[in-house]
Amino acid sequence: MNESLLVLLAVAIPAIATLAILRSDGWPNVREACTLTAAAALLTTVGWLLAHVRVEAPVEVTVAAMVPGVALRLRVDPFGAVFAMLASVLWLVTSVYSIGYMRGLREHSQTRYYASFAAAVSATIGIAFSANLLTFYLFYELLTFATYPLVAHKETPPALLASRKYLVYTLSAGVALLAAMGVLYAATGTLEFTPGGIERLATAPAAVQYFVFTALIVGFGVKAALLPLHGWLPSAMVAPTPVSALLHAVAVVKSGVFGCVRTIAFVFGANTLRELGAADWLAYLAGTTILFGSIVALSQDNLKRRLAYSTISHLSYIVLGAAMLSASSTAGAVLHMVNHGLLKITLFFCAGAIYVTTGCDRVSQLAGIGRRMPLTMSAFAVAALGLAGLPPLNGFISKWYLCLGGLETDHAGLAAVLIVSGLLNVGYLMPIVYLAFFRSSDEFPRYGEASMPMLIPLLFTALVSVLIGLWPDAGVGAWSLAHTIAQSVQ
Amino acid sequence: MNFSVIPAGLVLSPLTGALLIAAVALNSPHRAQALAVSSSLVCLIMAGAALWHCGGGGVIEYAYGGWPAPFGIAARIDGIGAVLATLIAALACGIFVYAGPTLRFEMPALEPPFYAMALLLVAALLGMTATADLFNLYVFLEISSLAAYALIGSGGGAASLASFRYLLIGTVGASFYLLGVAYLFALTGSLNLADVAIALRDVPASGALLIGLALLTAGMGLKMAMFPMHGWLPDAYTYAPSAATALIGGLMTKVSALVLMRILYGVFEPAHAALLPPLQTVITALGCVGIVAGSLMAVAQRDLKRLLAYSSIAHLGFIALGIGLGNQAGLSAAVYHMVAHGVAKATLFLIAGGVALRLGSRNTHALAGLHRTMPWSAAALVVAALSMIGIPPTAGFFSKWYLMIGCLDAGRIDLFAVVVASTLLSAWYFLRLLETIFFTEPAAQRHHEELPLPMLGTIVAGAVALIVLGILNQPLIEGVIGATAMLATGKMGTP
Repeated sequence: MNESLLVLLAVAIPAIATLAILRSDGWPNVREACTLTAAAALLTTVGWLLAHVRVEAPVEVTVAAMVPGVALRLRVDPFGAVFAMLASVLWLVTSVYSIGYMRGLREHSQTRYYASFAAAVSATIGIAFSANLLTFYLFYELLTFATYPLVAHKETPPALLASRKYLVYTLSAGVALLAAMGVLYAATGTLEFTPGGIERLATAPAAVQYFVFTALIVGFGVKAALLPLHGWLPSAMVAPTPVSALLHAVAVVKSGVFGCVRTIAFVFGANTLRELGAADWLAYLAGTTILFGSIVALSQDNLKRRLAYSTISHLSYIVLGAAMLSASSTAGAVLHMVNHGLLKITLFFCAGAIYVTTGCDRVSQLAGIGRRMPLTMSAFAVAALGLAGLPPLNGFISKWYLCLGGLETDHAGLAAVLIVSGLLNVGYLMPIVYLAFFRSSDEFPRYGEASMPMLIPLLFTALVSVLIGLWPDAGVGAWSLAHTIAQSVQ
Repeated sequence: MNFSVIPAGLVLSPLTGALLIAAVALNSPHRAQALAVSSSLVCLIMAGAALWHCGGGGVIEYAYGGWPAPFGIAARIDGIGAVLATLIAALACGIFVYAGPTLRFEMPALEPPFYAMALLLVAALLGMTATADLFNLYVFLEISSLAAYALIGSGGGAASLASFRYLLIGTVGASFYLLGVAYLFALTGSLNLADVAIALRDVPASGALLIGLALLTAGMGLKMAMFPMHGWLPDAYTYAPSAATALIGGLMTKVSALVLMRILYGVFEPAHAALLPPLQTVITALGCVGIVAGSLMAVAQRDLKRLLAYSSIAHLGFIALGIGLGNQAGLSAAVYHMVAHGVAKATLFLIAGGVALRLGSRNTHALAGLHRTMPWSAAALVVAALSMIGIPPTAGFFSKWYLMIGCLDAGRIDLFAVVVASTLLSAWYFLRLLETIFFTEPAAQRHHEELPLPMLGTIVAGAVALIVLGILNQPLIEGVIGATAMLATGKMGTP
């Protein structure tokens, strides 16, 4: 089997699906078949690649020369493969869910919706497999343009406003990245991701290092919703819920986080950053963002906005893990990328299922809903506990390694932040579960779950979260992969 | 194969075409179009051959009448010239294929004269890329200007005034250039570019030399619409017939920029490098102001063609900035941006022409729902807009990239910041355009009414070219522009 062909295929499948979806405008069943087929094909491809890089060296394909010394190049290393696997599993799940959601609400412009979705997945896979910053930047900008129509989907003035806000934030981030790339290239002549950092960067002047680091973190920090660059994320919740679920809880924001980890571990490397001392302020910024997100989430009545602030907080778990520069914390960061993805998408799926079935989108309307939608709310409860980091759920494992890393590197304060944030998680998610199950109301007299295409995905992701919590190394072996990745960049 | 006739053939082929149209096709639009397309195709083949030959630093020279330079008039094409000549021929070819329906719509009686005038313009522009003689260059400059005045004026109404204004300003520019040439001739006794460059070594830096340099720069600055000498451009681009705007907006200013580059780095730098830095400072500063001012003016426009015209001023600022930097990366960026911007802007003007043809309006609000009524044109518009903003893998990104590297190589962090941040300014007006297209309800329900195939084919080819040029930028930059940018700077090769 020629793996390099598979790498190209992984980016091409969703891209081809985009065109196929556009061509099948007017035949909804054909259109959805395109999405599902492509998602299944992508999952198979990425799964094969992941199995391959577990044992073999990274697979590399050079597509075209871009500028001297930097090519449009894709490389599947374990870290990229884990991210791509997460995105492709969740794309398949979300596609099933989307069909239930979009048809349930009789949404308009569904063709544009599915096409943009597939294009965004293509860009995400490209980001996961980028071998250098320039390729990363290319797909990162494409991701911005592919997700823009999804944020603007409703075409109402608030949606257009949110989409403009989204563009302003993400394009400014692109400018920061561009500046960082220019300076990095002028200083080192390369933009290649290297485990442990680019060697020639270590000898560059400190001012250059500081600038490149800051600009890269600003560039990636916007999509990773680092404080104070997070403003677009709550506004973007105006998008349809599956978009919020896959893109604004997983693909888009995780691309930003993925970029932060790439910057820390593959552009600079732990040693360079320790000498520079720049990772510390990032760690403290991430710690602040964790607390900020959790505290603001407490006061949000709109369910999706509450989840959005929770996302802001959890993204910074991952950034924090990478910024603490220890093997355990880096492994924890990789694991939390996966675990938070599964847990948060479950919560968003539940929010969407509630909205489609009952029309409720505020927390205060949810009293007694557990009686009407017991399965949905059970999944919600599982995911809420997982995010709080309760064993034996998967959220506990990643948080364990994050805390361990904090203690290893004498960042006890930051480890404490993680513990406090766990309590805050309970504080803003468990009241919803309590309201749903233990408060009665006349609003929801009868049993009435969401339709199957919505129910099955959310039960599936909740179940996977439990299973990963019980057997962290089962299935794709995320646990051992995370540790391999963390060791490789030390 | 004998390449040496190419520099002359590039001029003669469209000239013959123009004369043939005047002779036999004035009553037959179809025959005129066929003549225009075929003679520009011949040019394209010759320019391609020249590009093939000059890639990596070759030069083709031709002496008119067999008189060798510096006594006779020499035609000469090098790598940069070949790149520009290929661009000119390819765009002309595409525009002639495209033009029929818009011409019948905008200026029904004047179709054959349009082709004749446009061919004359193409001949003059090709002549400017393929000459080694300062006065010959002036002649071609005036021919191209006269053809452009006629083409712009043929739009009727406001176009006449715009054309007259361009005529006044353009004549001033050409006169500046001619005066500058006169100064150089008085100082060196020669008009051949290479010969002047050598003779200048024995000429001490004097007031006369400085005035000559200043006049030449100002003259070309006017013709390339360098800020703040851009006043003629917006009206001329807005009111000219669509096909003419694409031709003029895509090409004319770039050729003047090429001439400026040749004069600064081919003639003056080898002998009097000390004269250049103050001038370079001025040019880079004007380039930056042009980028910002042009973009901000574009943001304020509601007329599609006027918006594109102001965006041209901003992008000519990029080219001026690259020329002003004067290092290898800056000059490569300038030449590459001539190509990238030429193709992108011509494509956008052609789309604007198509929209005017179908919707009868140039207002940006008329674009609402374009992706439903004209999906392929809308897709091409997206690609061209992305290239203008500078999103990889389109060509526009790479000119921006080399310009950034050029700024850093020159140690100019301030210019670097302007170039990087200009992305946001371009994004501002182009993304607003895209928002209008995709997310605004059209005023009236319209049916699918895509453009006829020849028009659409040209537009889509332009969009595809932007992506291909972007992905294949490295061979182009390294093989042709890089090698000859060094030649032009006199850092190697000049005797």
